[in-house]
Amino acid sequence: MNQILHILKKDVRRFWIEILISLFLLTHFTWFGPRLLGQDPASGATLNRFGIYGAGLVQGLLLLLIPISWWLLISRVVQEERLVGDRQFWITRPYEWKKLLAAKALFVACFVYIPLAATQWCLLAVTGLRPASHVGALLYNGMLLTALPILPIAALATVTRNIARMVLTLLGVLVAVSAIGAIVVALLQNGVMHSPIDNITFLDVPLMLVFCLAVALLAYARRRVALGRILLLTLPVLLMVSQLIFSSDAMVNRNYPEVGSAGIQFSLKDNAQTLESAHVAVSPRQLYIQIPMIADGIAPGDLWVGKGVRVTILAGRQTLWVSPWQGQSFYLPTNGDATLGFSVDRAIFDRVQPEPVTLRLEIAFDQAHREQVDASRISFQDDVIPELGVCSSVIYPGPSVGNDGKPAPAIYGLTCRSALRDPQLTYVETAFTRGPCRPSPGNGPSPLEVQGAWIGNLESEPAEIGINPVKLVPLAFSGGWINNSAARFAQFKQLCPGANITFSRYGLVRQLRTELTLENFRFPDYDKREDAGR
Amino acid sequence: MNASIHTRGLTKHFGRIAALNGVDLDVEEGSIYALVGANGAGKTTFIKLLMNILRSTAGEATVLGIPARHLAGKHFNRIGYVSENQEIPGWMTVAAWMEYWRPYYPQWDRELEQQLINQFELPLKRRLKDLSRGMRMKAAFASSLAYRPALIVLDEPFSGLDPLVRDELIEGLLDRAPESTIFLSSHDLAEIESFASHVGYLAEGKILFSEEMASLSNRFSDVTITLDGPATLPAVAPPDWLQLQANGAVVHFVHSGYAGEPSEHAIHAAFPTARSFSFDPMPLRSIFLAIAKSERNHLPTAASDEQQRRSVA
Repeated sequence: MNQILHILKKDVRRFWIEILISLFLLTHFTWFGPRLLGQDPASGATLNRFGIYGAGLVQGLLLLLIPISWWLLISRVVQEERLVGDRQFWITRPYEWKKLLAAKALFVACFVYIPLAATQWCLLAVTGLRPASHVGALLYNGMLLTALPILPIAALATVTRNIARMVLTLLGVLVAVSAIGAIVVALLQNGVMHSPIDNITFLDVPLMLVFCLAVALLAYARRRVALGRILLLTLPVLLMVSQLIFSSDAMVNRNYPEVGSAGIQFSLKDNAQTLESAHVAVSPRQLYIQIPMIADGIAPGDLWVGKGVRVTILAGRQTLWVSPWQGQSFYLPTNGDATLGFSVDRAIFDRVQPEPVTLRLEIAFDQAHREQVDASRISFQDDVIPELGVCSSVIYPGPSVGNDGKPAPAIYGLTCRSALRDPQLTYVETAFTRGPCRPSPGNGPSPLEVQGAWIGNLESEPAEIGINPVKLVPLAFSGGWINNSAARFAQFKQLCPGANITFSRYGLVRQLRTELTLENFRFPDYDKREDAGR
Repeated sequence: MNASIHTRGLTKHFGRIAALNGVDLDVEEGSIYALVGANGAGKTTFIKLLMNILRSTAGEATVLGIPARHLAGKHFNRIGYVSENQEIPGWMTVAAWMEYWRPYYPQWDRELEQQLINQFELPLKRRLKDLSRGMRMKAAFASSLAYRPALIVLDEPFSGLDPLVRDELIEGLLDRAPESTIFLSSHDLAEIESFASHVGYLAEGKILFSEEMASLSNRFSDVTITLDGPATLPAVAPPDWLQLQANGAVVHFVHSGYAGEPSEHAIHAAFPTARSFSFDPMPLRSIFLAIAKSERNHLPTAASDEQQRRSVA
C-alpha cells in the first residue's frame, strides 16, 4: 500500500495542472447543466433563449473537452512509468507491477471517477432526480464509461511510447474507422448489408472490457506490449464480426422465439393484395418497400413494438429470396395501423415484380403491457412522475396580457428529464386548448384537443453511456409543433394550468416473432425516371 | 567463490540478426568486471538481458542467484543499474529524485546518500532535465549507490563524460567496491585498466575471452625479432601469434599466449638465425586492438578456444 500511495503522490505532484484542468471542466459542467433545463437553478426563473442556447453551446463544448482532459490525464499518468521501450528509469527499480497498476488505477479513480460521480450526483440532485435512488444506474454508467473510453485510453497508453505516438495511433484509428464506415455505407447502399436491428450487440461491452484489461495486464505484468498491440488491433475486427453476426439474425433467433399464435392479426391496410398505397423509394441498387398494415385483436392495455422483419418471397413453393432481419420501429395500436418497411435488392425486385408472389413476413415484436397510470395536472411547477423523472412545463410569453401590461406566460409544451437513461416506455396524454385558458366574458370555454406523446423505451439496461446523467426528454405531441409566433396567436395552442395529464407506463411482457403470409401479393411499379442521374 | 552473474549459451536475436550468440560468462562475487568490445558487439544487449529489460532468445542467465527472466520488483533492492541512455524524470529536482527512491529500499543509507551528494557536488534544487550530462550521471549514480547494492551494473557509464567527472564517478564507485560486485561495459580501456579486476571481450555477440586483468596482461607480449637477412615467415604460424608480419629483417607479432621461457624457446626455435629478440608488455588498449584486428582479418581465432578455457570460471 505504501508503494501505491508513494507513486500516487508522485503522480499528483507531476500532473497537478492536468488534474486542475480536468476538475475545472467538470465543475463548469456541473454549473451549466441545470441551465439547460431552461431555468436558473438558483432563482427558478425562466432563462431566455440566449441563456438556454448559450448554456447548451458551453455544455456541448465541455462534453467534448472533458473526455479530452481525461485522455490527457490517463495517458500521461500511464506513460509516466512507460511500458514501451527499454530505457525507462523504473524498470530496474523495486517497482512491483501490481502496486504500480494499482497506483495508476487509484489515480484514475481519484481524478476521473470520483469527480465524475460527484458531478453526476450534484446534477441529479439539482435537477430533482434524487441521486440516492439511482446508485445502481450510476455504477452501471461508470462501467460503461470504463468500457468506452476510459479503459481503451489506458490500454492504448500502455502500448504507445508517448502522447505524440498515441495521437498518431488515434489518427490511424480514425482513418480506419472512417474507411470501415464508408465501406459499411457502401454495403448498405448496395444491398450487401442491411441496417441492423441493434447497433450495439450484447458482446461489445464485454469484448471491450476483456480485451483492454488483458492489454493493460500484459503490459504491466509482462511488458508484452507487442502482444497488446496485436490484441488492440484484433478488437475492432472482433467488434465488427460481432456486429455482423449478433446484431440481427442471431439476436432475433436468441431473443425472439417463434410463437404459434401471437394473439394479434395483421392485414394490409387497403385490404387489397395489389398495393397501390405501398411506397417504393429508389436507391442505387436497392428499393425500400413500405407496406401499411392494420392490426386487430390487441388486448386492452397492450402495446406491440415492431423491432424487426424478415421477408421471404415465394413463387408457388419455390423460394425466390430471403432477406436478413431488418430493423423496424413501429408501435401498435397507435392509430390502429403501422407501416412495415424493408429493403430489397433491385435485381430481385425486377425479377419478382411482374407476377404476383407469396410474401411471407416474419415480424419480431416486443410485447408490452400498461403497468401503471399516473395522473397529474399541468402547472408552472416541476412535477415528479414516479419511475419517469421530473417533468417541467415549457413556458414562453403567451397571447394574453397580464396585469402588468406584459404578455402573460403560457405553457406550450412539456419537457421531462430522467436519470441516466431514457425513461421506461410511457404514453403521455393531455388536452391542449386552442384559445385563452380563462374564458373571457361573452366567450365560452376554449375547445380542447387531446394529444399524446410516446417517450422512452423498453430497454432493461439501468443506464446509458454518457457523462451527463440527466436525460432531457422533450414530448413531441401528436399535434405536431405549435406555432406560437405573434402573427398566429389566434391559432395558439397551449396547456392550461390545472389540465389533466396522464402518464401510462408500459413494461415488457415478452419478446416474440410472428408470421404473416400474403398470397398473390403484387409489388407496385416504380417510376424508373427516378433513376435518372443515379 | 560464488558467481554474481552467470550465463550459459545466452542468445538474443533481433529478427534475423544475432546480437548475442551463446554467451557463457561468470562474474565472481566482489570483482570489478569490465565487459569491453567494439560498438555493436552486444554489450548493452547483454546487460539488458541480465536486467530482464529484454528477453533472451535462448540460453540462461542468473543474477545474484535469481534467473534473469524472473528478475523484478524486490530483486532490484540489491541491484544498482545505471545506463548512459537511461531516461529519467527530468521534472524532478535532484532532492526529489533522491527522496523518491528512499522508501523503495529498506537498506537506504541516509548518511551515504549525503556523502554521495557532497562527493558529487549535486545541486539539490535543480531539476534533472536542467543538469549537464555529467551531473545527471552523478545523480543516477548517487541514487543507485545509496542503498549499498550487492551488484552494481553500469552500461557505458563514462561515455561522453569529461575526465574530471569520470574520475569522480570512478572514485565513488571504488568506495563501494569492497561491499559490491561491479559489472560494467565500457569503451574506455585506459580507465578500465586502472580499476577493473576482471575483463571480458565481446565481439560479434560472442565472448572471446574472460579473465583476470593481471593474467591478461601477463599472457600478451609484443614480440620483435631482428634477423640477419630478409625475414622468412613460418609456413604455419602458431594460432596465438597475432598480427604476424615481416618488414625487411624484422619480424613482429603479438603473442597472445606468452608464458615466459617456454614461449621464448619456441620463438627461438622458429627463428634460429635471429640476431635479437624483444618481449615487451602491452597496455590493455594495444591488447584489444590486436585482438580486434585479428578478428577483423580472420587471423588466428583458434586461440580463442584456448583462452576461453583459461577464462574465469
